Amino acid sequence: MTGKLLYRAIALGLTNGLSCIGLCLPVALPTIAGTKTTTLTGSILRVLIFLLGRLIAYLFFGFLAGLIGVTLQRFPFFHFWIIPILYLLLALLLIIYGITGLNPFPHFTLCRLMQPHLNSSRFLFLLGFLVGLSPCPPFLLALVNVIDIAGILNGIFFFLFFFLATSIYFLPLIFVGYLARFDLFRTAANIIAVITGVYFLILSFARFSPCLLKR
Amino acid sequence: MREKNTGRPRTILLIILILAGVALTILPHWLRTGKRSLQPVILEGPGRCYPDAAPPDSLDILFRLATVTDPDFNLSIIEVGLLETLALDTSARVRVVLGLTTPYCPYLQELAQTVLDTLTNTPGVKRATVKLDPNLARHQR
Repeated sequence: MTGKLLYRAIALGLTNGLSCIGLCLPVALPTIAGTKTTTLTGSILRVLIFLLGRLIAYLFFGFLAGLIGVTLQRFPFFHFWIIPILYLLLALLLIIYGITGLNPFPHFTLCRLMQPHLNSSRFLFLLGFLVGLSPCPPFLLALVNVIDIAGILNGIFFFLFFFLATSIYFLPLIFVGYLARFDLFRTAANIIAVITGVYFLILSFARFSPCLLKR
Repeated sequence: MREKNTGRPRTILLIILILAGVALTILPHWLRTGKRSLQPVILEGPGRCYPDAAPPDSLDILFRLATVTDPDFNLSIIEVGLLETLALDTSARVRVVLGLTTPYCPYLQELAQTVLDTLTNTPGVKRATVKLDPNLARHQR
């Protein structure tokens, strides 16, 4: 990977990072603020795990784009089936996370059984991965750049540096995670998780509907 | 009694936090991916290159448009099949409607501007209107 490409990846990440966080925040904010973390290190770790999930998804796309040399956005099924399904999955996960966090049925066994899983690092990683898979405009721009440069390794490195540059904007989330030590913040975060879950559900159906109407 | 006194400010604070959270999360997301991003881009401008010259015919315009490339495919927008309608009236006003390769094309504004510049720089064109409609994405047709 040449210096010019490295510069392109970082510049693209820095200029579009704000837009990037705008699209990841509905998932990242409630889930990071919704689970109790007592230390700053714990909060940093949670943000890093979320970002790791996103990174793996990005590298996967970088690998695919470098390998097949075309962007997935060209395929209709990606826009009309895969993205709505991703939104649906995110919606269900957020709603379950929010409801379980609020714990309205403390004696309900399923809630009790699910809570440790939903507060785990695996769950955050999964959400980060799913968010990474639902591409936003800056991500699509990066993808087009990868097609231009071609090559699997170049694609992966381009996405790695694009990811690092955009991740700078995620740093305030560490502070948000730190606030999760307060009960009130966690309650608000869980309610926001349910609201954003419903929002994703609507978004998913809105994207599905043109496909369903055609049939 | 103490519970009652702290309960109300707590609820108000909770509502404020929820509203702030929703404003921080859903609003930016909706603005980026919601209906707004599917709004067509319409650009208009007067002819800049010999507007008093003999009016061009549709074929001239078509040749001009063929020089504009789709940034994603790196092919002419005519080859890619983005041109929906081309209307040229007797007073040399051109109106072009284009679709996109994907409804969430990141080059929407840029492409519309390039097409408008190409049209307004065509000799004889008095006025040009370009409409780029994401709802007319190529694969949806």
